[in-house]
Amino acid sequence: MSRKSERLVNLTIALLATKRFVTKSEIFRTVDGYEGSPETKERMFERDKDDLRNLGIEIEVGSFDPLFEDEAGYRIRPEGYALNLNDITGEELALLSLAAEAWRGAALDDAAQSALLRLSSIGVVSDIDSLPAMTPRLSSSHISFQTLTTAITSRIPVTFNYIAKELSTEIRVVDPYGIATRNGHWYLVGLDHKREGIRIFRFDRIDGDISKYAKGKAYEIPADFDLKSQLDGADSLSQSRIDIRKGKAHVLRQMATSIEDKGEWDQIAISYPDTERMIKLVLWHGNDVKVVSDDDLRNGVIASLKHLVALHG
Amino acid sequence: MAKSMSTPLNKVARMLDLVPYLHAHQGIELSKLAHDFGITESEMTADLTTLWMCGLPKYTPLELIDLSFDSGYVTIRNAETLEHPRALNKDEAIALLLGLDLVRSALSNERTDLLAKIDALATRLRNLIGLQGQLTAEPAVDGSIRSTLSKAISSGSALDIEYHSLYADRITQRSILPIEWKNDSFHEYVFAYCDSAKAFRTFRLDRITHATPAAKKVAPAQFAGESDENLFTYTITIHNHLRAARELFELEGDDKDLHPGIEKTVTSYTGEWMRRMIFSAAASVELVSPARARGDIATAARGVLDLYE
Repeated sequence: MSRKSERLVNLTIALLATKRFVTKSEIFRTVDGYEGSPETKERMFERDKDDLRNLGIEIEVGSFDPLFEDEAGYRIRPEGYALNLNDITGEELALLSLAAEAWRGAALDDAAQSALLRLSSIGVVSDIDSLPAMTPRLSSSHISFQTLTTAITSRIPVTFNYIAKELSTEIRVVDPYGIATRNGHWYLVGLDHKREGIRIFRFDRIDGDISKYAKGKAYEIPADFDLKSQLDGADSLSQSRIDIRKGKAHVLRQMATSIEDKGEWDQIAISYPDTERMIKLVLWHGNDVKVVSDDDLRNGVIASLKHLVALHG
Repeated sequence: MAKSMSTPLNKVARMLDLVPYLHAHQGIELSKLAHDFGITESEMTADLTTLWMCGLPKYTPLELIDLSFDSGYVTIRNAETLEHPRALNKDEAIALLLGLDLVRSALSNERTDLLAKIDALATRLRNLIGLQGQLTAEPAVDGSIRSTLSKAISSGSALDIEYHSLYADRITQRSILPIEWKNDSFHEYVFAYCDSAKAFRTFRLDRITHATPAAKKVAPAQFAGESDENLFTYTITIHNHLRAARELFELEGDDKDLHPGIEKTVTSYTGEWMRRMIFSAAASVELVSPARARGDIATAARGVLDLYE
């Protein structure tokens, strides 16, 4: 086992140190660890190339001499191999360290920590003292988180079971466009194949694993796609005016775009994407809240209240 | 670092990262090095031993990587080819991008210098991996409140907080002595001694709207027990909107087989909380018993309807 790791490290060094392309026979002759019959060596080399590629190390294949096309040559370009953040400052490094730190114990912890190791190998001292004290933290322990981030960067359609309104599970196929957090939940936004439109999925409503549905680069993300406005429902906002009692309904107060003092009550204006959810939020606040307009919200609340009376009366 | 250390490929990745790391940290203690890479000292020694056998073709002593690690401190020489850290892969860049988003929102808007730097860094990272899609993260909790609480926990000092109590829909001022962090899969909490209640209480972090060092000393009263409120039990029937009810009443777990008309037993510390829960289920959930609480729902609903008369 350590023979193999040793050979791979040696191969990396040899291909990285060379300025010209090195042929296979040169590699077999000079790089330690290639032994056995020509076929064995050949197989070893093919596997080694794949392994390095899986580590993200790109091996360039080229012609050793343009006049003789009989043997291919190999090398690793240092520009592609090494981390290139140009002249990074200590302060910038500190910002990136904080960014990595935010993942402690959450889904991308491993990736964040190995990024941190690379960053601290640059030889620039992180200047954490120049930043205000803060400890941002992300939380997501969803096992498939990494499948989704990979899907977005490689444009791979994914499929998963999604828990619908009445708890039935539906199989969805989605081209992932982006992921984001809102109010402590993670959301996936993407093109739903069957519904032929952009849909939003909450991570904790995904039942079981997320799997790849097709090969990479299967779709393009529209240039005008805007994650934030999708999540805010900016395309289809409803406007309402609501009376709330003084000192009450803090959640609604925070959403208000304007507040008007009306004595015992305050009247607020709010805009929201989802009427059904707004009805529930208004109901939550009981007799501290009264909807003035619009009719959709007002009638929805009244209908629910009548239904509640009928159900419990 | 990757937790599965056993495959040769992981070992290769680690050794390639080890060289630049040693370069930047000459003379590092073996124990610290092992800790930084998340492996044991003997695993690290095995890695270093393997690395010692590596180098440029010809493999004369002149071409081999030169490591010294006999007295518990590690230095490296003759490894110029590998001295630059490897490029970030996509997962690593994404982790940093999302993390940067969070750092950005934890900063005050006045630090335009830092905000501009973060945006420039994010652009650089996006270009590194050729990211086309979008990823954003925003905190559920104000970063400054978290660091105030962290400091208070580690120094054992008290805080004056403003707390939004959801069930009473009231903002209260309390003096607390924070003790430890707690979290479930959705929210973070701080467990603390509450001087105002003279008891230990759990506060949801995203409901703490303000926190400053306490004006006076707070010490737990001698016989302060865990919250002494009584837990009430209710029976409910879920008629429809099963997913919403499942999330509202936190029936996750073994309740995948909820069906319309199912009866469930739920608990609450206060009747007020239960009333709000039933109300916000918008008549898809019925409170069956106790009878008095059921009657209260009908009365309260009529009371709200009166507002609209």
